Amino acid sequence: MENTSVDINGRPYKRSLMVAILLVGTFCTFLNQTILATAFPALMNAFNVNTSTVQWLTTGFLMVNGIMIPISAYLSNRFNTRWLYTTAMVIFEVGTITAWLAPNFGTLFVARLIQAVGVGITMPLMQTIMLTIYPPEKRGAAMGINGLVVSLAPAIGPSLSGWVIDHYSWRILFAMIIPIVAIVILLAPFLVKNVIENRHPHLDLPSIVLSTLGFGSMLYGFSSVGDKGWLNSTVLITIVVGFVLVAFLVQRQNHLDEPFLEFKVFETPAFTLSTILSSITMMAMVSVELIIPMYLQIVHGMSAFHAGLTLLLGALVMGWMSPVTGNLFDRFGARRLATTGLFILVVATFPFAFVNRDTPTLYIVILYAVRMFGMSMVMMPVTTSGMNALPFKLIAHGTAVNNTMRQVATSVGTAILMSVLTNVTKNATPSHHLLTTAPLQYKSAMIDATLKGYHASFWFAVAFSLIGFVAAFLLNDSTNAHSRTITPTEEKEAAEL
Amino acid sequence: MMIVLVFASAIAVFLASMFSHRWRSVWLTLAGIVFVLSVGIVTLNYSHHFGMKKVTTTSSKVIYSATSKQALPVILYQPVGTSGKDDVYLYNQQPNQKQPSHTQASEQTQNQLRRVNGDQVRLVTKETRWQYANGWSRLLFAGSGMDNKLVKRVNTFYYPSYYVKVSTKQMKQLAQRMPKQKTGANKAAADSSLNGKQSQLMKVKAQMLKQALK
Repeated sequence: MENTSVDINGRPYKRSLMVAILLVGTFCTFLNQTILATAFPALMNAFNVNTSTVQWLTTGFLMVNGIMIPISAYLSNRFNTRWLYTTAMVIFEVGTITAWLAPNFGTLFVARLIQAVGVGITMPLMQTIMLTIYPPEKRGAAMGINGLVVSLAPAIGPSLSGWVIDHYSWRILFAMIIPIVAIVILLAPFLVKNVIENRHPHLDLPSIVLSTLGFGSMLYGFSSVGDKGWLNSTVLITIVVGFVLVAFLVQRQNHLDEPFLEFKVFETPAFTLSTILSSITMMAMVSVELIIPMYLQIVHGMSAFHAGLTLLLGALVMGWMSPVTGNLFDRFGARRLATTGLFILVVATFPFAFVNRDTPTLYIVILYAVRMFGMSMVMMPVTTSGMNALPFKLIAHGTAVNNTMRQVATSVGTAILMSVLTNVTKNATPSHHLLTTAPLQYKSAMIDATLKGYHASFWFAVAFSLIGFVAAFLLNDSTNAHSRTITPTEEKEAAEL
Repeated sequence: MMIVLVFASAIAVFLASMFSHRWRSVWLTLAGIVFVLSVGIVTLNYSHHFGMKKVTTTSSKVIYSATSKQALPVILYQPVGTSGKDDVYLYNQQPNQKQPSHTQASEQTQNQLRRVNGDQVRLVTKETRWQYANGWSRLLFAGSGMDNKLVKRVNTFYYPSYYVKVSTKQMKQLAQRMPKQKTGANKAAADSSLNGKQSQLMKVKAQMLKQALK
């Protein structure tokens, strides 16, 4: 692979160095999505707050994240890449330092929101940059490298934080990131080049307001379902208001000369299909990722750290496979990969619908890893094929729309699952009377009820992956890369492998 | 073994789909069938205990009252819940054990009390566990940890009919009241020692305990 490329001003630069610095920086920001998962008990102790309060450190983070993504399309077209990335990393660093020194819970919460602003910018920016600096026929490999960070970092988070909490303190979770990000900030102005074509799009303020309030309200509503249920008035109102505001946002974009967020990307069928497919797969993924740690902790009595460790093999498999499937995408397109991956996913999800208290941990580790193996053939290749179908100038918008949809799908999926889990469990819960007469039998019946809830949720995961499997056959049997023609020598190479 | 096959066949499906040129559908079908079957067998192994059989073992041993140091004819128990189904029983495995042993507080454990003639206390433990059905399934499911999983444990205590069932709480109360009744106890002890019969002494103590508990 050639190592020098030219930026938008025609100056040559080292592409690999730029990608390396982006990867390190983005890895640090991505780690923060899940790094507090196992730290909650320690934080509850340190600040004397309860579970639902401490949850906001993650929920609030993800909400701000979700709000920033739609804005990222405007930002990456308006500001030059170098300073946008550096600024985002500085914002993230400020948030991280604040979190490290936080004297009280309020400060820590604000620090997390500041962090989330930085993450919300770097996350889609990284993808847009990768899709821009590699030619369409190499985008699969580029997105594969991107996927290594995107899927590995959040998966390492819980295990890493469990280990840090056991040996040091929660402040170290933030402290350890500070020097790495500092180096990234120092090097970024030199290594990151301006690669995204800048225009001066008109900033449509009403659109920003509609997008922020709309997606914010929607995400808030869905993330409250687990706590309050679907019929709670706050939940219903915020979700409906969210949808109405987003509808207004879409409506408004049609009348703008320079839309703030280009929903016309959906007029490209391949993009629409890939967005739907990756959203469905995302729902199948979060359902199992969410419930397996609970199962391991409640039924097998594991600590959060060990539960996180159990899932580490799956994360490593996905990280390791991501560049491989990326390369394969460039050769074969998304259809073959996605159908194979979803077949593996469907088959490996069935066993989870039968878990009981006897299910060996070893089986869980391996089956989960096999699931992730299948997943690695779906997420990034499908996303890339959708992006490839878009004209070059719409990449930033496509990234923003695709990531926003996935974010919304994740929160909807989580909401459906949590409510299925709570309802099924609640219906099977033994009478409270039993707790006083025979507590051991109550505990046993309670685990049976919980298992019933898990089974119902896992059947949902099976259904999602089945739908995805069928939909994958609609994918195009090419990479959608416009400049692509397969040479006979390449075909021969592929055959020999 | 089977779980290794799950992983290996998943990789085989991937390789067959991506890299086989000739006979692609044949390789793919083959790998797919092995994958589905191995996942199925692994699932059946824990969901329906495929390849496992229930093995029940019974062990019987002579035990002593948890208060054997004071030589009191007491069946000591710790109530768990009000129904009595989950109660934990305390006993000594050796006559002069310092900390008493106790039955497991778990949902798989059941305890039963039986009254017998004579003076000896016995505990019969009947355990049912899952074990590999044969050498073949031992090989297939090696390393899974399915072997020896407890299904059910029934502890049956055989106590002489005159023993008194006393909760740990009652025992503490009794210990506080002991000094008052010491004279009576000694007198009774003296009486029975005249007869020279250990069991007689125990029966008298049992009578007094019942009195004290009223």
